[in-house]
Amino acid sequence: MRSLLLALVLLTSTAQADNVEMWLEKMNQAIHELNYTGTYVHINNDQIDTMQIVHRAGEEGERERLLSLNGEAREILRDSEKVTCILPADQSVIVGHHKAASGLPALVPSDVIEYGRNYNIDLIGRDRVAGYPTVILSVVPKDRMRYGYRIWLEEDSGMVLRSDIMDSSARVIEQMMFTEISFQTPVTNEMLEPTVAHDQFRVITEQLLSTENEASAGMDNWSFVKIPEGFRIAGHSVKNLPMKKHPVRHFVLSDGFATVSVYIEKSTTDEQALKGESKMGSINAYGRQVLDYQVTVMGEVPEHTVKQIAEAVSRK
Amino acid sequence: MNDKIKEQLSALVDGELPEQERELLQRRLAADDDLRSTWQRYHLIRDAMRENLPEFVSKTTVSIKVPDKDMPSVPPGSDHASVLRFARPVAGMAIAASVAMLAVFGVISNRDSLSPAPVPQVAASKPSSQLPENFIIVPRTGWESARPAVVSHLNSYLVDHSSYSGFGAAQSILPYSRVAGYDQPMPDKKLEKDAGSTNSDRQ
Repeated sequence: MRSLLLALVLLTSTAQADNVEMWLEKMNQAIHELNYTGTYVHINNDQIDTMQIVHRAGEEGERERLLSLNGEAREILRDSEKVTCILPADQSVIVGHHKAASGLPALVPSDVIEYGRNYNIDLIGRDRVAGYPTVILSVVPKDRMRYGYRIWLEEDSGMVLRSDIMDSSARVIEQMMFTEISFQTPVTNEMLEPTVAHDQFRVITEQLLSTENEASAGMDNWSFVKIPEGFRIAGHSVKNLPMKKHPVRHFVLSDGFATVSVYIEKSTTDEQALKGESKMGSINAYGRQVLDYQVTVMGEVPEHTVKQIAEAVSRK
Repeated sequence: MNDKIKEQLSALVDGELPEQERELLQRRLAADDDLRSTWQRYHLIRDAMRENLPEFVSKTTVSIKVPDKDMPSVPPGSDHASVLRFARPVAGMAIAASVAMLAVFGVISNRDSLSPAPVPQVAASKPSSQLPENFIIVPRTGWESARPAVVSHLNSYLVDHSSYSGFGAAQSILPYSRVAGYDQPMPDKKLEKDAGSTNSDRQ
């Protein structure tokens, strides 16, 4: 009897794991492969924004337009090659390269084994968001080096309709929730064009540097003494960022859910350099000087994690 | 801050301040940080009183006490405590909260059997990407404890970081929302300039 019970328990937990895997995969697909238009609320720190989103998948790749509906009409356009941010307050347009175009290897999608090493993931219930039935995924970190998540997925498509990021005391620190979404409206080219007039704005473009230039720019030979448990280097590159005088060495670290960026650039003025920590909602940053270089670490992980990563940066 | 100003501020929040006084007060608002944050809190308090904040905001935000000196005069008998539970010096929240409420009443899709019951469409004017005339920008909070020069440096990184961030490989929506919630590099200077200008000045 006991063994039968045990078998049953095992069976259910395997079924549960399969289910979680299926939902994670569905979520990854849905975000990329669906066409949708909608409105969502984003709460970060003590700031709340309402955003309009238009997303199209298709053979020519994904295209997306985000427009803030309150305050200055900031608008972000994304396609498979670049990201364009129109910022009326600055009278500027910032054009960045999308990671696919930057030569960085894409992170392995829905790598459940990797998720599983650092997080316990469970289906914890059902709810209703923006009028749609959803399932709730709970993502609980196994240590204090990362945040936890609750993700509401639309039952039919797996689309993320709400997500909460939580710190170690289960306090919500960042939220996104759709209030209205449609998967049916055909997304035309016109709907993906910018609505904010920006002809007169200055355009600032990010440039990638070839590897030959790396050494001369002093950007080679950087490494980490020790990376926190569960993180790995997912990619690195050297680039000219908008509004930066010197080339920047960029490392991307990932644990499957959370991403951390490490930026290393030649020190300019003390005015600009971040010394110690700063945060914005779920994003923590930590800055320190290494030799003549400013190291800035940023990511949606707790403050001690960015600090630990920053302190591990060294030049051979 | 004297009582007259508080009264005027309260009237401004309720849209009841005579036009000639409004202009003067708006100019003072642009120049006076204290006054501006009080004004923001009035908005928040008003929205909380009218229970205009989205439910999930009130559920998740932590209570922070609004200093008594900032409280507008409230008729005796009204429930201060229940207002303070919601109150938090949140930039933009008061206004955005009402926008969020409007969005909740927006049109919902016509998706097959899963589709929610159609909601009657509220006749409203088309959303605009232009700011209305005589607008006042509610300062946005951004990077904590950072100087303006550092903020601009961090924002530049944030734009870049966003293209790598998300749930695993999934380019989720969240990272770009953070960019759109982008902090203005020089919030105070901007305010002075913007609060006094109208839409047409900005073209």
